[in-house]
Amino acid sequence: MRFGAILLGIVILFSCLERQQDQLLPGAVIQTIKPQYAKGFEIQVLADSTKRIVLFNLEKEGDTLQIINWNNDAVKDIACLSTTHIAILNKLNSLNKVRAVGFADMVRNPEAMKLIDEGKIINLSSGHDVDDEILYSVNPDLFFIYPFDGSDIGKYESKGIRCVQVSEYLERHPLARAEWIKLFAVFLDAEDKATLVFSEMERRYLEAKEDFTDHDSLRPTVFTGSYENGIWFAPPGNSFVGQLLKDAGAKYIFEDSISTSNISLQFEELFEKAYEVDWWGKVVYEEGELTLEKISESDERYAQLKSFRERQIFYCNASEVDYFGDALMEPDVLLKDLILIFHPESAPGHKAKYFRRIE
Amino acid sequence: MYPSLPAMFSRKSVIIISLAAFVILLFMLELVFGSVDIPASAVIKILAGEIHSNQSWNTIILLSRLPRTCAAVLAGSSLALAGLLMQTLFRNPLAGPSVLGISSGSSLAVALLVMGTGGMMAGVSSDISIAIAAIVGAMVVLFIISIVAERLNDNVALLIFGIMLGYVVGAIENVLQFNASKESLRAFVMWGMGSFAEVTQRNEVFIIVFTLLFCGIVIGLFLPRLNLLLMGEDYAKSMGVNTKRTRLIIIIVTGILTGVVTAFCGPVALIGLVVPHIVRMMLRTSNHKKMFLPLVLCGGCAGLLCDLVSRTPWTTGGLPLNAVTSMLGAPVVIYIILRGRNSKAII
Repeated sequence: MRFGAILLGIVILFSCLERQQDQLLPGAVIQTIKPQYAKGFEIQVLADSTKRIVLFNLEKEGDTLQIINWNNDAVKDIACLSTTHIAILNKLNSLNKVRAVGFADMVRNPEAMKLIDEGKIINLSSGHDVDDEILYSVNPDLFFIYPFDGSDIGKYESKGIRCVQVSEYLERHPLARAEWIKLFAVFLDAEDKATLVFSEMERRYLEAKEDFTDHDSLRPTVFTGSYENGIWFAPPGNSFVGQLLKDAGAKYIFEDSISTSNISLQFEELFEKAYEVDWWGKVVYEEGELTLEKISESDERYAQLKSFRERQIFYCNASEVDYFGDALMEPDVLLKDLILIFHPESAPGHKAKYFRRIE
Repeated sequence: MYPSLPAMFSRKSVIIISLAAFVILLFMLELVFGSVDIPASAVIKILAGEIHSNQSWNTIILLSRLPRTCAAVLAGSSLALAGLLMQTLFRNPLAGPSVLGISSGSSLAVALLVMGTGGMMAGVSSDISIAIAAIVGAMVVLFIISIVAERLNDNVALLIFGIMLGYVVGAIENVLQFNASKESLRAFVMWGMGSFAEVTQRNEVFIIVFTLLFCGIVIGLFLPRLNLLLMGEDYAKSMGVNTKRTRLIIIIVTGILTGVVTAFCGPVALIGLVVPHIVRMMLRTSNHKKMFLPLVLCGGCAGLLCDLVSRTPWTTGGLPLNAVTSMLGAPVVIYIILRGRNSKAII
């Protein structure tokens, strides 16, 4: 007994000593900030008050994508690849630092569009790739990119361009995607603002969230996805869309499916599963309003579905609203739009922004 | 004294009967097998006009499997006919409907439409527009080929022109793809993989039936001249064949057949090239009169078989049609090349 107590004392003493030694080292981690929802990054604050950002590979659990040691350098010029990056930078009031964006013609954010029109933000893409010459001419302090092609990082970093691989699009919770604002904020010295913006967003989302987990009968069924060449592609149950539908009090017909990519099934299989489903959700990219006539013209089989017969189709027209940009930073608005569709009594006074019911 | 069975039925009759039986068998298998389990008895009742209590089954059989199966058999036959015509015209065993750039013409027109609308085609009302674009594209290339065919009296030169035209069209397509949005590119790439499932409406099936019938009749009228063409243009001319006109008609018929199939099913690879060879090997002749009916049936079999394999149950979304036609067709082409080195080629 006495021996055990002595041993415990020695262990505690050594661990304290070790911790003290750690604190003395400049590279020692004094705080690790783990996001509440996002799984793709964590921020470590080091003893010398610099930061180490660890980016995880969301397609391979346990794999680290990139480690960035950040000395709180001032960032003047930013380049980014995605419309979602623009949405985040806009929330942090940092669009004035953006010099170039990929696929500029796809940007729908009004402020960013204005800057593009004025030539203050230039298009970085040529075809489906980054135009390296444009990037080098801009010579940004930071370049937010996709993690598709890791080899590009070395190419850019050897030219002095620091890259950050952003994989928010792989997150599975609407709040997780929005939480990436905290990562961007580290580089822009805007962490307090990011925390404030996110916590407000989170509060609104959680307040609006419908919890019908124990009342399945109250949840209308819903399906979504897109058809190409005889195959139906749909987001899995553990996706951003699956979570959003669940939180909006609907029962997604593929909610039990777990996958890192879209699930695919033969059209007839989808047809049988969706035949008696209450609602059909669509994200389209086309001019004008989506109508029942347009849908039945595209494929007469759709007219047989219950959702079509009962006019229970809702959609988001990505050519009119910034579904692939600003919507990322408005998960609460997306959620309320859906609640207004499934449970209108729970969203009094809400004005639909992204999703609306077909006329 | 009764004649023995082999004497009663010639080799050709046996092949025709066997192929017809195969077409019927594969047709039924296509209707019965799918990702949704529907009992064969229910399939037969629905086909007979009964309305099944499971409403979704009625739609799946009548508006999904039936048009798809019809498209598979009709497109297979059309492409096989087009392939035979091309091989005869160019007296080249590796000629096919896509060689003259007709498929490429269709593809380019579809690319222009899909990319030009900036991905808007991915959704509603795309099928009809794509079909029209593909036919128009095939016809434009056909028009160019016809003009050149009038001036060039050399089939090899015409073949090379067709291949070069295909390259030019392909290059324009690449430029369009390079500058297209991701949604457009995806829609176009998916279309390029080919699928009989895109045919879902009765009027689409009727268009293919009408095209095949019309072209079949035209080819039927020209069968003796096609046989003479096989012997060489000079020989055909000496036998009184207007080779220029015959060549033009072959090109037009091939263009229509390929254009319509490409319009509704995408550019389907290799069926047109391979099926005529299979039929020649089975019949041991290149006589168009003898080949005509077996070719139509064998083309139908090929279309049905490829579609059946592409709906393979061990993959959730199935396989791309062109992956199947290539995997099944390429070994046949290799066999033809090897056989051609060791023995006298048929054409």
